[in-house]
Amino acid sequence: MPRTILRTGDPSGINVMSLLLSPVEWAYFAFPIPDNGVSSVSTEWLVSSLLELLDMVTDADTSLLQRVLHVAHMLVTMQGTDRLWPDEIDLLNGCSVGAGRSLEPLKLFVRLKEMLDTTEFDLALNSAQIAMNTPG
Amino acid sequence: MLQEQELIDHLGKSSVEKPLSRRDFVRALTVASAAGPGLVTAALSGIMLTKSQRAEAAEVVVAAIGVLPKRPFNTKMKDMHITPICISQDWNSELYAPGLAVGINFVHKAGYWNSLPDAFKGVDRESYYTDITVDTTSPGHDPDDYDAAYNQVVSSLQNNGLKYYDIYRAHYGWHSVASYQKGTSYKVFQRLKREGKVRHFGVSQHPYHGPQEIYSDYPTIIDAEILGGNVEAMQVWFSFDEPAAVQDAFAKASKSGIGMTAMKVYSRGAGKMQADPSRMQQLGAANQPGKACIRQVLTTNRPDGKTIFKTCVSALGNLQAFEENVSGAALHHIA
Repeated sequence: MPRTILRTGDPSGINVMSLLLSPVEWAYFAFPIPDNGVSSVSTEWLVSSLLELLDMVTDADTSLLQRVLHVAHMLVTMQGTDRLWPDEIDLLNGCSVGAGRSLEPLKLFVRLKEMLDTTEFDLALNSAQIAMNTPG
Repeated sequence: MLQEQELIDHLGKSSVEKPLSRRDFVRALTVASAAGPGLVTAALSGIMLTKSQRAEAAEVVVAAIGVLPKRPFNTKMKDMHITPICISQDWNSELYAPGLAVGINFVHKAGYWNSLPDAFKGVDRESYYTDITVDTTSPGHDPDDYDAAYNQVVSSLQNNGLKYYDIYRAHYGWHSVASYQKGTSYKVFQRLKREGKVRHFGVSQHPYHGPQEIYSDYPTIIDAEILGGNVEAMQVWFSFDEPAAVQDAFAKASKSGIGMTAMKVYSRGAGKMQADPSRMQQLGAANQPGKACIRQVLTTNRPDGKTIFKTCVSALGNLQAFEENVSGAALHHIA
């Protein structure tokens, strides 16, 4: 899947409205998608894309941070009872694709925690830590 | 007019190379000040400002908007009089001061603050309301873990020094009627209330998606929370052109006395609003989908003619978004 998701038509900066995002009618809306109509995304690609957006946040304009936070908030709710995340998500119907599991969202949560000095992701991080420390 | 635009364009190009001099910044701000309420930042569009210049521009924005009105949150929350838009913990922190300056008196997700932001130091705690979103109600987080919920609130207050939260909001709400009816979050709330750490019980109810045997749909879970009788404040996803069944459920919640807050206002509505220029025009927000969405939500009525939502939360990342959204909320004629 292509890594670049931004369409920068505005020479003065990032046009947030031009980001390719999942439609509002989908179960998970306003998530980055690699192309129109593509509803299944790997968690790895999703997190990587979101981290790219965070690299462009400035003190004057944190709009991209808000976009990422919207997705991060939803990712928190996707943590399973095994304390892991699906490694592929169907954004249209909100279901996991396949049985693969992932810890990719942790990179995002750690980055957001540092940027915002927030405790928002502590439960998810601590919960995942238990999964990583549990043998088997 | 043309000369002013030429000046702004010239200053914009200059500002890319180095910060504007004091003289040039004042020239730009003078032009912007004359643009009128809701249009100050548009007049400064294209000019890169330093942090102190942004703060000064924010003062002009604040002066143009004025002070926001406060209205009773609803009958279950009658001690709370709230502004039509809230500050959110994840706002660009440069916007906290202008938010307080226009009189915004509610901070959503204050419980996530690890420490009190500078803009709030010295502000009388009793002059603003806060909520804490208590994260123990989603499937992977040991749903309704009593100790985790209690400890989240207590440790949060120790970190940020807020003394108490006005609303304990179960976050992200419950994924089913059965999980809501277990009542663990409410038991935690009752203990924290006795200890003086929280005052009202609420929910930030997100819609869940999945098999019907596990997940209740949005109207069903909202109805259950109304019938349950213990929810005093409800924050829900709502914007322009939402399904009728969802709007009806929120209208019922409002009618029952629950204090209603709309969230995801821009993200769910902006695209649809952008495609409806006549609606933006009707709302007095031509070409400003953010402002239009805020006004749409705050003027959506129940069948009895009263508004469903007394306030909303909006993710604001820059001064232009602040001006567009907050000026949209400056509705002094709404009952």
